[in-house]
Amino acid sequence: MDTTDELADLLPTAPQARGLPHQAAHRARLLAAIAAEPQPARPALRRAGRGWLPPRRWLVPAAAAIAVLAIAFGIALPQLAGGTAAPRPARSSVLRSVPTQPGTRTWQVPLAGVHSVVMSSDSGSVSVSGAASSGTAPVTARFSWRQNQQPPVISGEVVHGTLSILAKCPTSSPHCLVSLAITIPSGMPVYARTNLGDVQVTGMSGSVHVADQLGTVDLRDLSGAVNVTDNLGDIDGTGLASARATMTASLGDIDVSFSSAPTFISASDREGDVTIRVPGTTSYRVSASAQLGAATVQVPRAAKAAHVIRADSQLGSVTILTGGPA
Amino acid sequence: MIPSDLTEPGDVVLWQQAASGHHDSFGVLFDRHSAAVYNYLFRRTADWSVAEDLTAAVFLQAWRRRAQVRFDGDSALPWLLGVARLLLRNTVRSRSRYQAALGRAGAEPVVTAVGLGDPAEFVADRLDSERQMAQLRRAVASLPRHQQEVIELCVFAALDQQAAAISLGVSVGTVKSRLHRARQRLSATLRDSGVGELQQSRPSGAVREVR
Repeated sequence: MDTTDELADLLPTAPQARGLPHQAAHRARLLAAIAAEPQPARPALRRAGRGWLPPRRWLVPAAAAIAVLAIAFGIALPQLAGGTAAPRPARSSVLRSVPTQPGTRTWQVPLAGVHSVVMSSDSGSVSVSGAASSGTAPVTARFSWRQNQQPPVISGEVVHGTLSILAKCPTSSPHCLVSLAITIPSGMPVYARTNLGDVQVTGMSGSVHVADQLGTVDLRDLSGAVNVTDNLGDIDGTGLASARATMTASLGDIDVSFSSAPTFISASDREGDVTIRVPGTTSYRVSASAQLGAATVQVPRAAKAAHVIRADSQLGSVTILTGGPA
Repeated sequence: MIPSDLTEPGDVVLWQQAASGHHDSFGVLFDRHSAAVYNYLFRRTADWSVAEDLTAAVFLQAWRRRAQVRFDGDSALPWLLGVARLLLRNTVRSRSRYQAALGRAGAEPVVTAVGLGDPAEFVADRLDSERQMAQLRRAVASLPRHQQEVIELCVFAALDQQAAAISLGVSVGTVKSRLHRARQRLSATLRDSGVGELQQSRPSGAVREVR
């Protein structure tokens, strides 16, 4: 028995490990933050035999002083130069609207310098459609709220190349809804989220992240990596040609069908049924588990196949089939 | 959590892809290791929501330090836990700083509303495990910090001694001797006080350690 085991025996039991909640949303935020990081990376400070060390003590005040000076000059210099040397702004507002009455409005948002899109509504559906490249993206918002309450606010800004369209309700009134729709060049990575409402993503070839709390997520004709979490609603997908797809649901069903054989699918549910349809033209490495329901696998299987399907549900059934929807 | 034998490339390959500009590969690394980092953070803080908040921050910091990565075989996890450990040294400061960095990037803050997301049973379960963890932290709180660290990595996170050495940036021999001394010290405490008393011997002030 080694020291580690002896130590473990001496101590009270540790609580069970858990999965990270809202994983897709955290991942999307992380990737957006990384995309916004300055390039190129700072030079490596490798030290033989050791990992990264915290900076030396005197460096911290020195760096702080330099930062203060830099900010002071940053503010002072453009003014001294008569404002001519304005650097390209990293953040710019492209849309801001507070509606005066319920209804539908459409804006054309410029896409110059935009490489990815975030669509977020507190409550209301979100729809993203892919189209050919274009200089602008039409954004449509449908507002409804109680007239005696504060209206919702919709804003759009570009931060380090990410266009974010955000709809917010000032109160958590159930009567305040903003449904958003956008059409963007199909190759752009997109992150769509809502608390309350459906999410539809159609015809995209870039990566797609969706986080929904309560509503159906409907994916159609996607070919980029897919990452979806839906807490209480269903996840439906048709015509998926994505190489990677990760889907997590809690109460709703997952029902997705792939038009080409994916490299990796992970579908995980707590209480709903999981149904995955894939082409029967190749074989798959399948791990399907259903703790209470039935697990049915009717696709060609091979232990070393390059195509991996992993599906589980705690209370629902798991079904993996070939071909299109029945 | 995706078992590593079911996925495609290993950490080393993904890390290289990520560093050469394929951010999605870093997303795969995040999917692979975020749960382990999350649980490590929980076992340090005994607070699930702090752990959740800091998980993405650990990966952002790892990204910034990506050139300094060290692998244990093909796994980046020990090094990631080392990043988490250093991040926790300045929890309060780094939490707000990384939240700001993650917020600046344009995405909305992740919704962690208890009402919609977490049915009541989850919440009760969550509080239970936080209490259980706080008890465990009290049990190790009498040890010096560097002995606590080897327990966190070798016992709680189930790393082997080689991996723990990478996390801590020390030699395997140092990990061994710290483990050994931690065990001696804990069993001495047990002899003096008995298990039950050990678990209650510390005031609750030591629960949420912020270092």
